[in-house]
Amino acid sequence: MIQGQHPASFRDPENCIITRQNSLFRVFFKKDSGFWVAKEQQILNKWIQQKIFLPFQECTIEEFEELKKSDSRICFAIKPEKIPLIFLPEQWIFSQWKDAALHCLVTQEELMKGGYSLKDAPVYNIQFYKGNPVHIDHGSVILREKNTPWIAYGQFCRHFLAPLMIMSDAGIHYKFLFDSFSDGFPLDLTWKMLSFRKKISLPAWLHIKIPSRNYLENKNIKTSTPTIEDKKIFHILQHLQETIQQLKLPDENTIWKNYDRDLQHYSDDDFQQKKEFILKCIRTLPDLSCVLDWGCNAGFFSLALHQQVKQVVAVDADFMALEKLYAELRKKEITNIHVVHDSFSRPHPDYGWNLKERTNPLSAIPCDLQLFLALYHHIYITDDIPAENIFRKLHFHSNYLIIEFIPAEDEKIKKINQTKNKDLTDYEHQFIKNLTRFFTIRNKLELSNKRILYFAERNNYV
Amino acid sequence: MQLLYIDPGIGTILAQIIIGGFLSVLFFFRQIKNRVLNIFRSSPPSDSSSDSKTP
Repeated sequence: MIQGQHPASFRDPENCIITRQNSLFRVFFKKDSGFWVAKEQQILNKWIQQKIFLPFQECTIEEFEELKKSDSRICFAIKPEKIPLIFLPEQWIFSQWKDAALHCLVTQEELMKGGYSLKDAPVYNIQFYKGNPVHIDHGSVILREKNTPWIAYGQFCRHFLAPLMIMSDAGIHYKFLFDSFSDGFPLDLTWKMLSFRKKISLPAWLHIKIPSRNYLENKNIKTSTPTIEDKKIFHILQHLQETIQQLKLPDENTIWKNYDRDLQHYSDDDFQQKKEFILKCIRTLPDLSCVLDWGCNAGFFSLALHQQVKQVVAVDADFMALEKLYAELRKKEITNIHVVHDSFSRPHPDYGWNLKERTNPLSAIPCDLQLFLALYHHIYITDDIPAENIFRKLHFHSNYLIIEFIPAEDEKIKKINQTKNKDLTDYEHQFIKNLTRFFTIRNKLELSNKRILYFAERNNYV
Repeated sequence: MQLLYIDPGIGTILAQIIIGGFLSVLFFFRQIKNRVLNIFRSSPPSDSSSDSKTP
C-alpha cells in the first residue's frame, strides 16, 4: 500500500486514489493508459462537459513530485473534485440505482464512439454529484480495438441489471443481498430468484439466462479475443437501456408513503409555525454547509431549507417516501439535496476488504445542523435505544440540533406503544435530562398539539 | 497489453455474440415496422425510434 492510499482503491493495478493533506489524487502507473490518451486527444474535456465523468484538475509539479516520492512507478496524477460523501449503493433508492445504471450505459456508448471503452462497470464507480450520477473512476477508460466485445458486460449485468430486476420483482429490500455479493448478483442465482413473469421476458433471457449458462464458460476460445461487430455492441447497450427504463418498483404501501397526505395530527397553523421556527433558527446560523435531516420522509423540511444551505443529506428508512422526494428533486432540478435510504437506529454496516473497503459515510458524517423531527419517540420506543445513546450520537455529528419532542399522551405514541406497552413514566425526564446534558437549549416552541420543538447547541464538555 | 483486474468471463463474451446477433435481427425488423408505421402517421417520426440512436 502506498502512503495515503484509499482503502477502497487497491484492486486495479494501473491506478489508485491517494489522499494527501485533505486533497485527493488519482495516480497512474502507466503512461499509455486509455485515460492518458483521451486526455491528450482532448476527448476527455467533452466527456466532462457532458457530465459523464467527475471533473478534475491537473496537479501541480510540486504536488506530483511529492506523490512520486511515495512510489516511483507513478507516471502522472490528476486531482479529481472531492465528493464530500461517498454513499454505498445499498443506500440508494430504486430510482437512483436505475439512473446510475443508465449513466453507466451512456458512458460506455460515448466512450465507444470515440474508440474507448470502460474496462469495468462496478456499481461503486457511479456516485451522485450535484444531483446527477457521475462516473468517478477515470482509470476505467481504456483504448478499444474495433469489433471487440465489451469486457465489462458481465459485470454490468451483475452489478446493475440483476439487482434492478430482482428489486422490480420482489421489492427494494433485496438490494441488501449486495453486502454478500459485492461483485454483483451471480446471474445463475438471479435467474432462480426471478418470478415466472420475468423469466418469460426477453430481457431476462438475453441478459441473465444466456450469460449465466455454464456451458459457455467451458468453451475454448482459440483466438485471443472473439470478434463482434461494433453495431451489435451498440444494439446490446441500447437494449439494456430500454430494459432498465421499463423496470419499475412494485407498488407497495409503506407506512410513511402518504404521510404528507395523512398529516392530521398537525393543524395548518401548527405546521406553518413549525416550518417558520426551523427557518428562523437556520437564519441565526450563517454559512451552513451541511444539514442532516434524519427521518426526512418526503422531505418537506429539506425542501423548505435547501436554498439556505450548501448541502442537505435527507435520510429515511422508508424508500417510497424517498422515491417521492427524489422525483420532486428531479422535477424541480434541485441539486443540493442528497437522498439516502438508511436508518438512524439500524445503520447500514461497513463491508468489503478489512471492513474498510465499503464504509457507511453516515456513521462519521460531519455536519453543521441536524433535524430530528418527530423521530425521537420512534427510536426510543420502537427501536429501544436509550435516551443517552440517542443524544450521544446526535452530539457526535453536529454543533446544532433541532429536535421535536412528542409527549407521551400524544395519539401517535399511544398507537406505537399499543402492543409494546413500554413503560413511559421516565420518557420525558430522560429526554430533557439528556438534551440538556449534551446540548444547550437556545430556543423552543410549543405547538397547540403539545409537541415541542427545541433548537439546541452542542455542549463542549459532557 | 491491457491489464485486466476483472475476469470478463468467457461466458459473457460468447453471450455477447449470441445476444448481439439476435438483437440485430430484432432491431432490423423493428426498423421496418417503424418505417411502415411512419408512412401512416401524420406527425414526423419521434426521436425515440430505437434505431435513430444507433451509429
